[in-house]
Amino acid sequence: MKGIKLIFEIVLLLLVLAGAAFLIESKYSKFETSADQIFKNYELYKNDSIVVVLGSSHTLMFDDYYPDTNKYVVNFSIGGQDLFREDMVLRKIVKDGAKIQQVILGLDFDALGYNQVLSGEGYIDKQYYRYLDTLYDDSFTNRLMGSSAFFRSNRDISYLFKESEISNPIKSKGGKSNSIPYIPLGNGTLNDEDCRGRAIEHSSIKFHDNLLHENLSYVIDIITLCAQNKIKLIIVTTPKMECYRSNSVSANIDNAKYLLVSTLKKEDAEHCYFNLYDDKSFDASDFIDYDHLNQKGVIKLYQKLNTIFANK
Amino acid sequence: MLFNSFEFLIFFPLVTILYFLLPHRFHWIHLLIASCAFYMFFIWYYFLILVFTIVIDYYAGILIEETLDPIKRKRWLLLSVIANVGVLCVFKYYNFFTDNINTVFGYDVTKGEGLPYLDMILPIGLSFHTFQAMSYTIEVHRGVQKAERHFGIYALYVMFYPQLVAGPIERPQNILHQFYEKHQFNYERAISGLRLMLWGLFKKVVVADRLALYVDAVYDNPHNYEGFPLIWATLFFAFQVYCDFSGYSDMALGSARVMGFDLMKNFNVPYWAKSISDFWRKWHISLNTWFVDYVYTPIVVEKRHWDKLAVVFAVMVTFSLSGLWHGAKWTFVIWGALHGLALTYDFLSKKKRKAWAKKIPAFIYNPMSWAITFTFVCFTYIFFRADKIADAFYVISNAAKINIHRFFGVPLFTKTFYVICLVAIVIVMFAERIYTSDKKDKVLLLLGNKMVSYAYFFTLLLLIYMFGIFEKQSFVYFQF
Repeated sequence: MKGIKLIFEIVLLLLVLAGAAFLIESKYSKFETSADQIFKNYELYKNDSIVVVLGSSHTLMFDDYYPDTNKYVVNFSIGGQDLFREDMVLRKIVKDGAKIQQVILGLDFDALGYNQVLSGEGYIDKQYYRYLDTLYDDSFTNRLMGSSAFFRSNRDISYLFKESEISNPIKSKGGKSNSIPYIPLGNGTLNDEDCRGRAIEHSSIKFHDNLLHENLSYVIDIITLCAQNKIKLIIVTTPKMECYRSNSVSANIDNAKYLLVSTLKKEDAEHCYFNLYDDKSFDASDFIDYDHLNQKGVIKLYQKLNTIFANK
Repeated sequence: MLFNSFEFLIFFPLVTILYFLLPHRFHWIHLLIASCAFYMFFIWYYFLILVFTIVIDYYAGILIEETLDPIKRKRWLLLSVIANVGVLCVFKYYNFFTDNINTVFGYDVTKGEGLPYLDMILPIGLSFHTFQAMSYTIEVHRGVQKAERHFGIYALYVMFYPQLVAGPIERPQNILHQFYEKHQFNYERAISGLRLMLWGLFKKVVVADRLALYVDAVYDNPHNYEGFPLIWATLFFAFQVYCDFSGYSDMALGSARVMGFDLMKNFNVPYWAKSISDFWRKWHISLNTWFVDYVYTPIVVEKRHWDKLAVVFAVMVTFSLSGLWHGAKWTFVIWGALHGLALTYDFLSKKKRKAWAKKIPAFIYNPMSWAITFTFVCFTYIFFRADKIADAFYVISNAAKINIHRFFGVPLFTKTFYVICLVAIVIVMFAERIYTSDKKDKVLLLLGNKMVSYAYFFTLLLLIYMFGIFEKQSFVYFQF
């Protein structure tokens, strides 16, 4: 009898807990993640001929200043995005039958040794689960969490006490800036110490040698997908400030660069790759911070690409 | 199978309910099958290693008991010890020995010189179950324990799932007889077991795994930091390893308790210790007593004519071995040796410290003793956590380069992270301190109240749901 009593009590307790979880879930049901905003935006342009930008925070403004203003640019960039997800996103929209004219892939050398989940940001993986139906850590537990609004929010406890939902308004079709704005490091006040910290974070702390080949396989997959679907592909390594480059762990960066270039050669994709990492024509006035271009910088980058294209 | 996995959430109630539903004569086979399944969930064929040592130790135990000739008895014991230590040497220490030999003789393995390395994953919990198996044959040889004739029960002694992969390292006298006893369901016992399990889970997924994020970020690349981040990471590691390992032990003790089994206590608020010897009476008690019984005491007895030197020698040997038990790396040996040195100091300065204690007021002497002990324990963790000796020395030589402007010097972590971690640490430390003090009865009385008990379970479950880290996090001590 006592055993049944215990089971009854456990069931009761779990029901109360499930109730609490349900309340939390309903509170978070309107929580908008970066992934939600990006895919909301994509829905607007789904049936048009589009240019797709894949990348991280370094390509966030690539839609705003795209030189051909007659084209719709859908930017799938999110701060800290990894190559696994960029590949999955492209797979999804190709599968959707979207009319993709061109793909611009922002590819930094340090991104080749990087994975968002392994760098402790697995919650972003869960944010995308709803749209991509795949997770880097594809375990049952993770899928369960990926289906929960609370866990998708990275368990943002502050949201429990907020009245309104966190959201950036999605611009109407044809409007500018459909990507999530980037907040520069230190609100724009630059110093060497922060620059060093940033460079080390990307080129060492979040950089894992053992991921290089895996990430290159995602790059190859993107190249193959574009070739199979006759999509024009541009791969670009964005410029970085001198302090950022000099503080990056050169062994990791050089190794990644070597592997990337040799892979592109093997895949016969050298012609679509532009390495502006240490391009001297970009100076401090082209950057928001140590590794992010500002409006002037992005415009300059596009001009640069056009010139290279013209010369080719 | 991990205690903090979804699989265990199904496994545990299923095994427990079946255990109480089945007739007593089937209990051992039920638990043995469950334990096999539990172990085979990791890498199934490593189960064969367990079968190998179980068969040898089972027969060695019987033969030791049946043989009167002391030399033959010793030979059977030796066979058991060689089998267990041999398994450890092959699977855990082979690459360590190989690496040292190749380094000493300057062999270049890439050119096919020297000894080849073995590419394999360390069988989970190997050091735990081999030590538990050895304690059986040693105790039989000493005549303290009768040889177990029931093969299934003996196999269960080694494989009992709650303590199979990370201890506590049980003694046959404590656990073997319990497999014969009829355990009927006991409500209070079950509640107490579940309470302990939940506390262990809280320590693991809310505290240890959260701290691990910071510790790993710093210790994986220590050369990127100096000053505060190195200090924070070392301090956090102290609590990570405690909450991880004691969390596992709590879950092991709790899950066994629900079924009616009593496992030995493995931790007793070690970070409140006021001396290193006190610390070792409170930290990983089952391993420490194992070493005391089977290594330290025999050496002291053997070398008693050396007088004080016998103790010093025994302490140093015991703790260097204890270090090596933790991992096949020199960093662990140094960690063990440092504790050995501290214990030696403890032993040699006993009279002097007693005199100081009389002179210095208790309100100064006690906190000072605690602070020195805790600081020393944290210092030794630098070797425990660092991947290489060079990394450990880097941490030691750069931790003092304090820059107040880089108090929170790791870019990935916000100030809130530090606050959450520190609050969680304080909760764990003080809650356990109160629970192990003379106020324990009051706490138990309070927890006996239905509403308080419900509130306890609900609050912990909610905290785990809201703050727990559920992404495949293994236990630190599984690698040992």
